[in-house]
Amino acid sequence: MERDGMTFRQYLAAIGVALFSPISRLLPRGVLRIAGFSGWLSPLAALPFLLLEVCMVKRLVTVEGETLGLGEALERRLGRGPGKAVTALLTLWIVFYGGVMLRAGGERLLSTIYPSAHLGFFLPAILGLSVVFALGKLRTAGRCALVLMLFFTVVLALSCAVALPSLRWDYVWPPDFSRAGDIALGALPVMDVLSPWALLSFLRGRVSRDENCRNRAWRCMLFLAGLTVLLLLATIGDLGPALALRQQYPFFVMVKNLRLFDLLERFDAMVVGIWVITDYVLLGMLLLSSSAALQSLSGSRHRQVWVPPCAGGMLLAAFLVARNAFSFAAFSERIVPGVNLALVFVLLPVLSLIPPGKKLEKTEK
Amino acid sequence: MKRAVLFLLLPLLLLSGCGDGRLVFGENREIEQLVPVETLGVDRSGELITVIASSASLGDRLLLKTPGVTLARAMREMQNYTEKKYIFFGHTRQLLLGEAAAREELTECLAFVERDAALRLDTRLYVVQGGTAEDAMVLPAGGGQSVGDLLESLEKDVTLLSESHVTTCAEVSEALAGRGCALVSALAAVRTENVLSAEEGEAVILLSTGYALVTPEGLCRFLDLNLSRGVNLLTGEVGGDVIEAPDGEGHWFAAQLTGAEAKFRPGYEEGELTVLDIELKLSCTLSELPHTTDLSDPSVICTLETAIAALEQARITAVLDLSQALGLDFCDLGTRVRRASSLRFDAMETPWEELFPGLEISSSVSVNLERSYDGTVSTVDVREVR
Amino acid sequence: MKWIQRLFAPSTPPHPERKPRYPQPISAENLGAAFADCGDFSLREVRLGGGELTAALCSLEGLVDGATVSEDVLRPLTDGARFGEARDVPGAVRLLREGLAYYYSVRELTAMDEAVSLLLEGWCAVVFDGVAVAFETKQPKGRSVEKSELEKGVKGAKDSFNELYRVNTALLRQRLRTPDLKLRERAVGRRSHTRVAVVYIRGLTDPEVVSELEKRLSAIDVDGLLTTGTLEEFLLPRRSPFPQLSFTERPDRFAQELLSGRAGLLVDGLPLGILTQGTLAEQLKVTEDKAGHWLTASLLTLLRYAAMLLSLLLPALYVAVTVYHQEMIPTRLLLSIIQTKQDVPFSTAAETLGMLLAFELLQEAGLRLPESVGQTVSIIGALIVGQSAVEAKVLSPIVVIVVAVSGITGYTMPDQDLATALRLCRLVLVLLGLALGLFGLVLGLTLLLWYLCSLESFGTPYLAPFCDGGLKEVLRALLRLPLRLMKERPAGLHPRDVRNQR
Repeated sequence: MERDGMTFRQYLAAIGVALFSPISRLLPRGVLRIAGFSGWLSPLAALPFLLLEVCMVKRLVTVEGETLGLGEALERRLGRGPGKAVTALLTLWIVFYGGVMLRAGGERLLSTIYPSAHLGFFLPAILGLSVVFALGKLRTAGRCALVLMLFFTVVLALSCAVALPSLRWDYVWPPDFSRAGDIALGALPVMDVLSPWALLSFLRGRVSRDENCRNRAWRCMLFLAGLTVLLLLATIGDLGPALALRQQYPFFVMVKNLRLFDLLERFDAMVVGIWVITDYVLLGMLLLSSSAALQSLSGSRHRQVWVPPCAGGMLLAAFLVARNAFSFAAFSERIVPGVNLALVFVLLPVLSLIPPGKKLEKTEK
Repeated sequence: MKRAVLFLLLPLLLLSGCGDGRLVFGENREIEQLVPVETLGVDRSGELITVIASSASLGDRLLLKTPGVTLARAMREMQNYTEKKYIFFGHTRQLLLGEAAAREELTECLAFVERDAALRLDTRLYVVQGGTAEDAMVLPAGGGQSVGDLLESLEKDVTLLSESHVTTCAEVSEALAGRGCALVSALAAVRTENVLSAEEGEAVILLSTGYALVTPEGLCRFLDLNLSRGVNLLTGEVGGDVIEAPDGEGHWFAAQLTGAEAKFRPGYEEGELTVLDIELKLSCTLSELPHTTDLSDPSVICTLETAIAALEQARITAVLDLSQALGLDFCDLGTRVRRASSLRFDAMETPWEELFPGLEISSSVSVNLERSYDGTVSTVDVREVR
Repeated sequence: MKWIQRLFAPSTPPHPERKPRYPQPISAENLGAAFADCGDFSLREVRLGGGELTAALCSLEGLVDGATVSEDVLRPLTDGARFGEARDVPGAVRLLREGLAYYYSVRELTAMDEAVSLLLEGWCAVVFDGVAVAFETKQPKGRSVEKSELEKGVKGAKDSFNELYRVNTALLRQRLRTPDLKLRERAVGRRSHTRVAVVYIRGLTDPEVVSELEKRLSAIDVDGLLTTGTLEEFLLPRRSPFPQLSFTERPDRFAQELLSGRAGLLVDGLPLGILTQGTLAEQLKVTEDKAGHWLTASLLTLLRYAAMLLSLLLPALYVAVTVYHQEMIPTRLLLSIIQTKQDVPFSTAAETLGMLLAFELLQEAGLRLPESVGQTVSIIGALIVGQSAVEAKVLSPIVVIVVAVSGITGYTMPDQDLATALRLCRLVLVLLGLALGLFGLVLGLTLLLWYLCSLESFGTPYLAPFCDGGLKEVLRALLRLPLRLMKERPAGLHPRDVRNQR
């Protein structure tokens, strides 16, 4: 009765839920800084590049009609040595990126609903649950992701719907098309935030085959872009562009100031609490991807043995990456996106153009 | 491996809020130990800030006042002055700034509200004209009502009377950042004999005095009720204000304002905005008029409409003149103009803030008297029947 | 939990079942020896047709119908006209098989094991040396078909399964009159030889599920199969508080689920039908849903989902919000709660946990007591705990309301095992909420979700179709769609025949 593995739908759902975390944390400020109040259009400007990224990743992992994990695909294209080197580089980056995301999740909890708490509690707690996610069966992770995708779509839509009455259209409409260039540049933070799509494709070989995978992936990307537009509209339209830009986490500040008639107020605590789940899924997926990459590097039998070292690396990176929240904000909003974009939109497309070499001996999964 | 991880996590549960909660969270408190603050007031005297807090209550009012060099310090100090454990600011609905504090502490207060985890950005902001926040919070005799309830009632009144529009900290912050000025609802604690139930013959009540015009440097000036009503006409935020005007035959009539719509027609020359025409359309309903007035005569209606139009024209002209004289677009005309012609507006080389003070603005008011509530067209018909 | 396994490790080595248990040839003496000291064992020597040939009529009193044995088996045996031709044992056996005795069900036996087994089921056997002929003469002893106690319905059928296996199969056959309804029977339990039938519909049920079920049944090697718990523990690789097998007293529901594509079990001695591939979505539906209008049924289904969430989350949310996140409570409600909690000497944690415990105690007391007394105890409990405790300011009213609402919503769960599991999880979530606020609550919920996603029953995930289905399947789970729209069986059950109507 064992029907193991993740389906492609579940894989897409996991990526979607994972990306809710950086979307809500980074994007409102990211696009506002570049494109101003018309930044809510930037996800639409980013859409062609994101769809291209989907195609590029598919091309990269498809070798002679077979879908492989990114590690195996790189070895086939570049040869064993260079392939492993690139895999190692990407794996290091995934672990580091995971550490940055972990730190971001902890900082967000402290800045919003637990101002008197300690980072030293939240980082291991968040990572701990992500480790459980990564150590378990892939199909369990996939099922969780599909349920959570449904749940978060509803939560995000409801938050935006509750925000609608207090939305001031003056803040967002009509868009300033004289800044079309800035709106296009505003696509860069969107592309950065949605770039982990490529980093997670080390798992691609463990996902069941789907004849319709490209269309499904495009639909998923369109859906994420649409949700992002909605989130940006609600945040900028509710707070105003100048005020939103001054906030560390504008989306959560917007939620903090919502009131549901007189029944419920200040449900930011609930939304922030629920949003931690996206961190669990993001870190869990990064752990799954990095452990799959290390397994393909080392040729070991079980992927799970690599999860604790990757988790340890993430925890170390999270603690050491910055001394305080101020330096961390600068680091995570400028340096990390730059490296991410370079890896995903420069390195990987170049690699996808290299034709695959002859088939190497198979490594065990 | 899974179980090992879980066992490692379990001790973390001990470092939590179960007991004292100091180790990890420090956030847990028993609900009955809370004193929820409803209204916060800030005054400035010399170098010191004074914070006054009025608690929400079902019957008991609690007022506390503490000084400090900073707001955060003053609010912390307040914790010492109650037998309960914790003064809780998470339910603060209104923030009052005394006049001195509004002049010197405005942006600091707004920045504090933005940063503080407990306070909300949709906290209503008021400036006390000619007095301190303490006066406004301590003195009013509300018949057992708290200051917060009085201010909520005031908020509804000012909207109804179009005297001002109560703004939130978020709106003021955004306006200050966006256009360099903002309007804040102004009020005053006034002694009056109009409250007949008052025991001492005189009661102190909170009355709206219009708007306080603020800039990032602080309070600029107050706009009286007349000017404030003019602002509301231009922004379209009219409630059910009653307009009294002479009917040209030595009597006065009253009409209720039911709607105001402003149309903006910008004129461009060589890509730059050179002229702005504002057309204001008001709709009114007759609420009181002399019994001899014959409403079936169109010329009578026309006369009444003209009288109202003249009154409102004077108001908006005064507002526009003041706005241009100060160089502050406190009516947010820029947004309205942009909405009317966004492409050309965005393509202008000279920014709006520089154009505005010297812009040629013309305005016109037209009034439509729609109906009278009692349904009687003319009192002349009634006399004929008798 | 290796240390627990070590603690409970048996001190004796395993003993494989001896097959055959009775290796001796079949004879009256050997049967007498096997049933020695069994006071209900009856052995009567019979001279066939009054001639020279003798046989022994063996049976177990109480299990056989004496009148049937006398009239339909014993009388023909002694009838010279009928048995006159029998000269030897093979001839006698042939005559018996060919209908010389009046009984419709006859079986020739050559093995002692089979003879013992059939005698224990209420058959009687005419035993010769080396061979026997058995007749099914059992007298059904048990309850008649009664109304279901646990699954009450308004419009549907009122009959329910009882302890008699053959009655249960008959009730099922009355609803599914097709030879494709298969009942593969086997005996489980070394000493109980409990008859268990794997029930499925050929051409509809996934054959892999059926074979897996049979494989797991075969692997059960216990002394006796007398309770559902035994079956659950051995059929499922990992037993969870959340029910992965569904139990039903109603034959109509059992038949309905078989038609959906599930496989089931009927067990002799248990008044229940057991269904495999249990999912949360299926456990939140009742048979009455199909009897009513689809809009009403959909609303009630959604209500049950809401009730499940309320039952699970309300106490934990209450403690998390009142202890850590008081800003979420509307101001007037906050003031009201503060006022009512002024003189209560206990903390929120103590109040809530105490109240939950009291509720569980009341519930247990209500279950154990006889019906007539149970109601009185419940009323007294409610009065004492609710009214008096609040008036004496031992508890605050809001806690009583929260726990009561949580308890009542738990009672709306159609499956009692699910309700019990929710109670357990509720307590854990309350502890997490007390410890860590909303963060702890979300942590607990995520762990719970992950755990539920890891559960499977014969290849079907417990959270299907939410965790693996499309929009159509999810809507089908949440709502009771018009039957004309439900032309296909649930995909999660992998039925061989997907369409259920034209």
